[in-house]
Amino acid sequence: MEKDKDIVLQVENLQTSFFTEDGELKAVNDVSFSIEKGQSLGIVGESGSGKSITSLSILRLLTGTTGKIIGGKILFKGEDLTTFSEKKMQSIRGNRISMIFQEPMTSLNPTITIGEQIAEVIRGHQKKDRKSAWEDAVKMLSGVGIPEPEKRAKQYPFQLSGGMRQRVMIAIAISCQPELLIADEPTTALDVTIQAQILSLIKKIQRRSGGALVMITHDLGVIAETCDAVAVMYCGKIVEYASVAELFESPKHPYTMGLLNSIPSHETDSEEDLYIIDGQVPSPYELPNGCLFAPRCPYAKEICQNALPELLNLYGNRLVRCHMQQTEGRELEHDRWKSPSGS
Amino acid sequence: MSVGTKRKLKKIFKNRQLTLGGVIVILFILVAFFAPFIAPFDPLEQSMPRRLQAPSSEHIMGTDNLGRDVFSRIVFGTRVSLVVGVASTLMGGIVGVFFGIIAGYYGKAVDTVIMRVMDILLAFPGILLALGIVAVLGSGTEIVIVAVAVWAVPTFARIVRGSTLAVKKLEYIDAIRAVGASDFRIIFLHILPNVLSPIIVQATLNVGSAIVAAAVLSFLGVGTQAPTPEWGSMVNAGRQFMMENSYLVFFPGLMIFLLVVGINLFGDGLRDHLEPKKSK
Repeated sequence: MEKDKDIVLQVENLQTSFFTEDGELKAVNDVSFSIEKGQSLGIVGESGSGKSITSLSILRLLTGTTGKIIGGKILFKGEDLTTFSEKKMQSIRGNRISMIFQEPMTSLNPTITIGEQIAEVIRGHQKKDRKSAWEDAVKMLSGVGIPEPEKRAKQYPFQLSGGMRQRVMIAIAISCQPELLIADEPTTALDVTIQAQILSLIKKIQRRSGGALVMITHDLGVIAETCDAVAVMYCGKIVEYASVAELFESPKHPYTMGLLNSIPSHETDSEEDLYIIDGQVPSPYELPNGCLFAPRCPYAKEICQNALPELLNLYGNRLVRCHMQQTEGRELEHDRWKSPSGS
Repeated sequence: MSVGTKRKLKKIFKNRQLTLGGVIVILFILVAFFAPFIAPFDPLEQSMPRRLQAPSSEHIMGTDNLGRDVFSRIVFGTRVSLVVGVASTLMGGIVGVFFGIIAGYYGKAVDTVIMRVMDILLAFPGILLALGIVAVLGSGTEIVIVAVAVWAVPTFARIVRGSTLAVKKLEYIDAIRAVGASDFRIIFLHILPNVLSPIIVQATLNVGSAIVAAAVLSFLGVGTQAPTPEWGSMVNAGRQFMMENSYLVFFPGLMIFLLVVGINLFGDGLRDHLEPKKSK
């Protein structure tokens, strides 16, 4: 029981679909994971793999889209968020669960000063008067490393740079000390040098508050810098789950291997050494019957085309969804990835 | 005066439409405000011996069939026109903005129901709609305000709905929802301020059309009632003497024209000023 209390978020068999004119689009298909207090989990995947929809589902922010949670549970501190009323969700959002968005340039209201925008969130969740909320907002700004916070608080978003705005977004997100912070590609829109600053800021804040962090990204480098554990998503499903060290050391799923091999490094001196994963992500309307990755997998066998592999627990929370691991249990050889173009 | 304010003022004065329209509108507002001091005669005072006099140094716009000073009546008529124009725009604007923002924000069935009602209102020719309302509620200045306000509602609703649809999709609305803001807060604190400039422009232009509409209703005899001086009813009253005493319809008509042109210039200039991208 004691251990259960430490679990901040437990997602069980989450299914989110979009209902469009062309049919049902399974954006998140049977996803499960959990995060403990103080832990940080990375969710990595390509565009359209369902990682952002997972985070929007957790906060129940799909209203206004055609998306809908059609199955599963989202247990936050033991309570199922999928059963909460909109009003109850409003008291959780920004207060106990917060989210940092991808686009700092457009995620702030252009007509309101940044200090007021932070103070508004504080006043929305805590009983504070205008003045003390403003003071808190200034404190938050200095906490995220914004110089001259009193002056900056009175400025409008257009007067701030992208990095500064992302710091403001972080200040808004953590203004009520949330137990869970979801960062959805927080550094994608920023310069590389600013990226590193923002990542270390998020990490620092998480350590200081002891809250849980979900880092959503397509950049394995970001995962390596900020996370303890990582879930790899492909076509709305988790295909691999491991601690960061293990994932980078010995990836088990061919897709993860492909991703790791596709990271350019300073050692790659020519185009030949940069690997690509052949083919494309299948259309979400026509998912393959078998393993979702089979059409692009260099290891694929007959069984892969016909049956969807289960998420197999290899040992102590080391999960992989691959027939090759299940039937043969052997290490896949990395060198299959060495001739990317097949030439 | 700071450099910033100076630059803003410079930008305003460079905008000829805005400046000219603004000057005309301000002049009319001053006339309305200081009417008792400007008008040389009591606008209601009748004098049979002085009836139907052509413009002279004493009565610069002549006198009407009851011997009332036309200039004084026009000066006081400014008040009625401005009050009707502004009050009906405020009324229609507030209602229209409310429904438009609700329709745009909630979408789906709410949007369909509100906007179809607006379409029905729009389908009536404006004057017919206003006449219908006057027929039901009776005549008088207050009723004219209501009638012209109802006629303005759908235009505001459409404009605001469109802007709301655009603003609603912006990321910061998602971001605000993600920190637990209620629909009410999102609508009135975060969407409304960002759709304000088209509302202001439309409101300005609407004052002009509202003044014309109110004058038309009074001309038809169902608006502001005698003996209150009103430009539309002055045109109507002067109609029967038009052949010999054309100044009776000319001056009130000219005033309607000048005020409305001034307001429209001001509104167009304001649009260029607030939405610089749309100019040229």
